[in-house]
Amino acid sequence: MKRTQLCDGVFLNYFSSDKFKTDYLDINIIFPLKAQTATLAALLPQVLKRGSQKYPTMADMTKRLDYLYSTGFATNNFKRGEAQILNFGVDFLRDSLVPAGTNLMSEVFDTLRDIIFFPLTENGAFRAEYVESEKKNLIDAINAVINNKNSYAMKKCHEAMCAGSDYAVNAGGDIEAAKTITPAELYDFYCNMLAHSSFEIFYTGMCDEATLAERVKALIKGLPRKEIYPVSTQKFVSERTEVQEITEEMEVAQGKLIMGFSSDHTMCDEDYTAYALFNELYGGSPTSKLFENVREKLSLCYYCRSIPDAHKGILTIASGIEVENKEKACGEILAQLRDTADGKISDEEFVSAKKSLINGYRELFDSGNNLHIWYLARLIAGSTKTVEQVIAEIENVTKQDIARCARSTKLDTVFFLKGTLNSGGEDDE
Amino acid sequence: MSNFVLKENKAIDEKYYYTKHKSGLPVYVIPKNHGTGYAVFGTNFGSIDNRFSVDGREISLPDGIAHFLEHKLFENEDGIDTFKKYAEYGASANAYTSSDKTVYLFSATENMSESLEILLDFVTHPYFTKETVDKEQGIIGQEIRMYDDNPNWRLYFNMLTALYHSHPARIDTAGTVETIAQITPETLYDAYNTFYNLNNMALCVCGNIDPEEVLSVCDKVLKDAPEVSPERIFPKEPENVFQKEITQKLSVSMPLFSVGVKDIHQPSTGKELAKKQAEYEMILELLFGKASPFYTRLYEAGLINSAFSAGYEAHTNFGFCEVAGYSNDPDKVYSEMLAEIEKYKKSGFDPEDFERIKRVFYASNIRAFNSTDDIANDFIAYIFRGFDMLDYPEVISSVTLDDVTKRFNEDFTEERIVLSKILPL
Repeated sequence: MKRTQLCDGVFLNYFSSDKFKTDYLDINIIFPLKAQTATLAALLPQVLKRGSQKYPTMADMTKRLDYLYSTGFATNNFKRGEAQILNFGVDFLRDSLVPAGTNLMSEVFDTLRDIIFFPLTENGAFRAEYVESEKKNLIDAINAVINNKNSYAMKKCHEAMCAGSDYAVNAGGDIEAAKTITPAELYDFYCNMLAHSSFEIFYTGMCDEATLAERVKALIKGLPRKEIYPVSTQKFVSERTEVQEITEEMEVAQGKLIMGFSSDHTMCDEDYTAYALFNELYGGSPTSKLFENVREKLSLCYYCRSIPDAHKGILTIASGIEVENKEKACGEILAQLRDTADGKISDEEFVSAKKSLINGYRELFDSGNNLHIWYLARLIAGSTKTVEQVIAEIENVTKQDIARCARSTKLDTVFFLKGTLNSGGEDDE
Repeated sequence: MSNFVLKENKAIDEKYYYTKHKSGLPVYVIPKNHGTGYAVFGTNFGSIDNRFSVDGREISLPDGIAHFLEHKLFENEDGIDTFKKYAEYGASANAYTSSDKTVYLFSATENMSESLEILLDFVTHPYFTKETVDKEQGIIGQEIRMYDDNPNWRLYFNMLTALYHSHPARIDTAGTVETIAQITPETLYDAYNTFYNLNNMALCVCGNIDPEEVLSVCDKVLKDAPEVSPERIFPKEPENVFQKEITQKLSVSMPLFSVGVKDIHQPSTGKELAKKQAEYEMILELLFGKASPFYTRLYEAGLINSAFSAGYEAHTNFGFCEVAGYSNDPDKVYSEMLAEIEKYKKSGFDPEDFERIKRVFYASNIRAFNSTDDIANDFIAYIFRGFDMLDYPEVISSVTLDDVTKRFNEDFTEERIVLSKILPL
């Protein structure tokens, strides 16, 4: 990777690759996650996708992208710790696959510039009709979290753990906040966001670095630069003396068990790699302790996995179980954690976890998007380590390191979505 | 190079090597300079293949057996779980079962040969006992219940149960808690011995690996397999749909809809099947794509949102379109769709739109060659449908506006269309 600063707060991260049929470009706009702005940020990309000055309707925009050999254009909105990120990504065919004389890259960059920086406006605000329609869609999307029971339960668990802090803010937006947004307010947010955010731009493809830098400079030409609002991530600290137990009933077949732990390890820490390996060994792979014991030995579930939030310092265990097996599953999950903390780690488990994690990191190089996401996560945490460096670190982690990570992992909250439909496979068709 | 045949498509800069291994197994090696190697080993046995005759014996198997078998093959007679065997070499393994195939796979950035040996070995060495079968009932039971709570999954299978009277496409891949309770080591061996025959299977390896190396692993692990020719038995499926509408209530935030269009054709060659697939997909793009007047009109009216999508599923002996999304008024969306179909029957499609869509299909097809994962999985799916992925660009370019118009006029008739809905409780 080559990283260069293009202007104040704007960085270009360049990867040369000839493996793909397409080139990938990702523009990440990064700013602090705040209750006042999160919903505006969630709404913004949806409105930008409705129309730009040159392509004022969705159909115009789609036809333009189709014409550009089906250039993929996607937006994404997410949080990492207390940072909110708006992502605009394109992937487009490399030059050798389009007819000679087509300057596809240049046309794609022009179109992207138009969509992001030249939106359709009226009287100094976004077009009211688009804003109103997308507010409704946003509210529907926020409500739709309940459709995926596992994500819903995880969200509720994290909200309960971090209530009142910036981290509890939903990057996807808040319904009450969405209702009151005006087109002018959204436009103001947009202008401020452009001026005060940092930009991490990633590219993977065959273009040479110098040419690419020129093209990206042209793409962001005229970007206003004012004081850049710094983002920071704060480690989760559990202040509870007793585990918080929350049960919510819902008319579903399966119970969703979510256990939230404070991990005391974030990517900002020099020794985070040990924690990543602990996670792999404990619940991150099909050879992990949780898979092996909760699923294979006890047949309690189809999935039981651990998911680290590397910016916040939270470890989440998620599993889908019969309601009556809740205590049994919780007990086994904690017993496996205790065993790990006590250093009960076989050579086989240890080596498998290392190989599995290393393989996962090596595979990053074969997906433009995943490589970008991996580096972005580290940059936000203030780490400049490369994939190769982290792989070398994995080799040096010891069993004692893993046991230490397990000991620092403390249960904070158990959220249980209790299914109330009768068990026994009742079919309602 | 030994018996390998090289096939190339220079226009998209792709090629593969093919040979039929002496054991009977068709072997495909697709060279790529990616660091990640990806191998898939599968059989054209899926959830629809539950009735067949073999050696004069007619056999009916419980629903969900193909998927159950997929789970159980991971257990070995030596007591060592397959995932652990792979882990020793750093490979990441998985498997999946669909309506017409079961596929075992791994990806790896080193030790490709060693992991390939594990793949070929465990899939060709079944080991089922009553204890291990019983244990799996609990795990798969939870997998089934997870899907029972998944509104998109229910929506989709409800649509299929409305579309088909008796074709087993209407059966949920994993079966039900009741049907999997009927599975025993004996039924598993019946299924295995019939459908896990190397002559009916395929191996595709994609990545930076020498085809000869793949062949030497095959030599080491695979034993010659006398051909088994099971005859699949499918009930006669009428051309019309089973029921026009189906509704289920679940805890969802707003209604979901899925409109299915039954495709009654069963082409005799893989190439015809691929052409039909391209035609159907182009029709859907013209009617309901994001640049279509329909999409704009309903989106602007707040009747659909960006989750709206349309796709076609091609299989050897069945096929269907699915147009799905979220709406507070699914009935209105449905009636608008039917009206749109009638409108285009009168007006025909715009030739300019058709050209745009052909360009999109050309580019999307090339994009499918970005990762070794996508290539290997697409490749084996096409093989089981009797088609060669490298011929697809040619098929796309061969489709004319007349082909698409003809298919649209003949196949998009109201008696072949159903509506599935999931409504909030």
